[in-house]
Amino acid sequence: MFGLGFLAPAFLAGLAAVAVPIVLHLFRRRTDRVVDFPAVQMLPQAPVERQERRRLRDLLLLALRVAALATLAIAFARPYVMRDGATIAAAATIVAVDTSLSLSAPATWADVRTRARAAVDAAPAGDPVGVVAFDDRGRVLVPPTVDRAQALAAIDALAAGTGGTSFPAGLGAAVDALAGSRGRIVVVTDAQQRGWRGVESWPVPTGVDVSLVVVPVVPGNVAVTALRRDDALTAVVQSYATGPRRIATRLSVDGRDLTRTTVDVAPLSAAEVRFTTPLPATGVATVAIEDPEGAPGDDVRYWPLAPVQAPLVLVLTADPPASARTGLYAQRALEAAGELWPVRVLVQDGRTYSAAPGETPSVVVIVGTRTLDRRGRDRLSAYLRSGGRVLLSLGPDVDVPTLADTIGLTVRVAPDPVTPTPEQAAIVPSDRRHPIWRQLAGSRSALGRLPIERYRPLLGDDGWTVLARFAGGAVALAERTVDRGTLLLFASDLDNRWNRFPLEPGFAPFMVDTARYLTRDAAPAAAFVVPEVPPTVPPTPGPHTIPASDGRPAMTVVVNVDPAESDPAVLSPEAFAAHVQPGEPAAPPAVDDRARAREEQQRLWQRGLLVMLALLVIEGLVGRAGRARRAVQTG
Amino acid sequence: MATTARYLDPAVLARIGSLDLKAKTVVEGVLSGLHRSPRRGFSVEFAEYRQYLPGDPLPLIDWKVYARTDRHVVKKFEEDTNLACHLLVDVSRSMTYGSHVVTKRDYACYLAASLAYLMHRQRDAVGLIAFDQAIVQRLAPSARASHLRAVLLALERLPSGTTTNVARPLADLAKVMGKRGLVVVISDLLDDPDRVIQGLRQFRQRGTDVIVFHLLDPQELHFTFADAARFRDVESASEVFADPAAVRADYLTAVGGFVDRYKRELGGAGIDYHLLDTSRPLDLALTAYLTARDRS
Repeated sequence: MFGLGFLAPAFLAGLAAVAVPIVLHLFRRRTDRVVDFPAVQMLPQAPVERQERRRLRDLLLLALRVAALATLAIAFARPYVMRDGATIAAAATIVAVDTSLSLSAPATWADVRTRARAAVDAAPAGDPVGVVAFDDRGRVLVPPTVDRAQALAAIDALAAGTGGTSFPAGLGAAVDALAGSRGRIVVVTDAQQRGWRGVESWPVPTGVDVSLVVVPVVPGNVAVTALRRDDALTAVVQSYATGPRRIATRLSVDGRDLTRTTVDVAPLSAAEVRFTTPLPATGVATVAIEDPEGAPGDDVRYWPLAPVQAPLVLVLTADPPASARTGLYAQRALEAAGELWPVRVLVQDGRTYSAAPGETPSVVVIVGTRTLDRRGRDRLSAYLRSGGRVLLSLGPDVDVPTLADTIGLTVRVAPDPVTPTPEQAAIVPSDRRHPIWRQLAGSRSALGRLPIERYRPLLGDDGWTVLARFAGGAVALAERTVDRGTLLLFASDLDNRWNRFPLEPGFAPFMVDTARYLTRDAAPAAAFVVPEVPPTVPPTPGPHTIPASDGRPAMTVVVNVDPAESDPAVLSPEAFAAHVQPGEPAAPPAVDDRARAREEQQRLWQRGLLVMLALLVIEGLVGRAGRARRAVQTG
Repeated sequence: MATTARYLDPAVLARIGSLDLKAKTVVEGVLSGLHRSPRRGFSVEFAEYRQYLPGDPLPLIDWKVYARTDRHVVKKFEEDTNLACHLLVDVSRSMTYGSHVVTKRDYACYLAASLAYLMHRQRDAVGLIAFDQAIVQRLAPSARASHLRAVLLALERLPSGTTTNVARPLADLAKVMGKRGLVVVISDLLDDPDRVIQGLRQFRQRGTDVIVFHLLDPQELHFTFADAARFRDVESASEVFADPAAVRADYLTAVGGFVDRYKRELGGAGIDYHLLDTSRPLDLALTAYLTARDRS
């Protein structure tokens, strides 16, 4: 039922020290001679201590000293009491707090804190509790600990931010906090629908229970969800209130007010505010509204006035796009990013590319090479070698015999495609943390169930960095450098011919993230949306100045909140739970972890030290009394 | 040291094997230092002549000497005694103490054996009583030659006693012994002095001579311990922790008072009291006996 365990049993060797007082006791007894003497009655009748009493006192002193040393050794061994197995196996509770923008309204955030604290208090007594905060990213604030005060303090110190909601991020951080052990995750959130964006299901280890604490969002939030500029600057004001709202708006440039106006917004509708005031050529325009009750982060939006050219992505096809609609899927997918990643997409066939060189693209997505002539192949090869970025799909329109000329690199590719079994066709990322897989790794259907019908095997992957493989082991996606350029090779098709990947929800994120990955060190854009902010830009809304570096001039960029975060549409608990799928079994809490947690909770070593001090005090008092008694006798 | 005196040393006696030899050694050593037989009286064995004094019995006048010298002299003979001597030997546990090679019990045995030998030599009947808080062994007085051997054997096989209670065996003995006799008490007298003195007085009240040999070990007399120790009473097991240097003066005062009281009160009652240091020769004891025998 109960068992005593030790975190540092080696210190129990210190128990041997109890022999010291025992030996001293015996030695002292020998020096304290006993002399048989018949005429004891003649000796002065000072206060005489009887033998039995003195022996008892000596034994008491010995016992106190032995107990003190034993207590010290045991305290250093960090003891803990293990109760029955069921209790021992009790796992940690991780409270995952949503700190996204949608919860930043003052009243709502106060509710979040209250419910999060309640979740900590509701954890089974004695079990460790951890705290995780998440928006677009998850952060482990407090690893599992039995110190509830630490968890509560972390919650009190939390503040809502301007990030979006990502349940995979929160659950991932919570699972990380559990360190592979089983336990329970309590998600304190408004259950915003977009929290599962791009992810149909997220694996949570079997044995980890996920429960939801839904925080109702105070209704009536109004947000500036978009800015658009043509001959004037237009702001879109979205109201999520159930009644009509009159919203005061203000346009300013670099902190200087230009105009103020009001706009009437119908319930659950949007209204446009057109600012016709002439704008300067440079600076940052800010459109702000007054919405004291709603989330403050979406009440303002920024627009860079200096023109910045969006990156150009060239989709190279074999046939003219107008005739065969080839390259359409790649184009649509790249354009789907919209404001999140503004991009210009140009679809060209091989002949056109070969005949008329145009603007140097930031990225070339090769869907077909069959119609490239010598000039086109040389131009493409030169582009790559001079630092270009190329995504090469080995679809049916790729001419394998001329591939080496096209990219300036001999790539050993099987001339004929292979048809994998459905089991072998699943794409398995080598590293889910790679930027390309960031949005896809949590979605089973996005990768694991891709209907890849054919692909061209890469014969040997020397020199390649494999980013993903098919389940059968063949390379699916690989990367390598070609002189100063970067070549990314996809072993199948991107044009809905050898697979239906372009029809899947994960195709657009794959294309956008791949193109963004390839252009990661290209000229930066001027506007970003949280959290898709490059490392050189602070991930906080507002204008930011990027200092000059690497020959590039300093430039001003703006960061805006994700307008989708303002949408109060929420999931039902059932719909939320439907996205959580059981994954690999979680290991029971490691014995060491459980023992450490138990020991940390019980802190018996502290009590042991107190007991030892008490024993030493008692020993001192008893010993002093004995010495005083002897002094009287001998004096 | 002269040869005879050397053989009276208890430490030397301890190296002699048999008790009868020890007794003989002691007695012969003592008697060789005396000039004449200690006792005269009516006996078949002629001792000497002396001038007739008025009141002497007429049958004692030696008429043959009167015929030759015209002087009235009377014959004197060595006494043919019927004195019954009782040797009371204390065998209590306190008698087992000894700070040197001879314990008080050993010394008591030597002394009792020597006295028995001497008594037997003088044809006195000698008996033996061993006691602690009661009589634990008793041999009735007898003057037969074989009895001496029994006494010596009994002394060699004295039982081990427990606590001391001198008064009770004295009372028991007083009930059974006759008026004439000699009681020799050999003990450390570590008992209540009132009870001891009271017990001895009752013998004197019956006309019985009493000699008390008070045996004390040199440590009991001088308390020369050096180190502090727990002193445990060998009979009661009670303990006293003491530093000898600190308590010596008080102890010697107590022992001195203890001895003086015996000496004073027993002397006042007509009882011979002799304090014997067990490290000293036994001749003092034998001389004291002979002196008392003279008086009997």
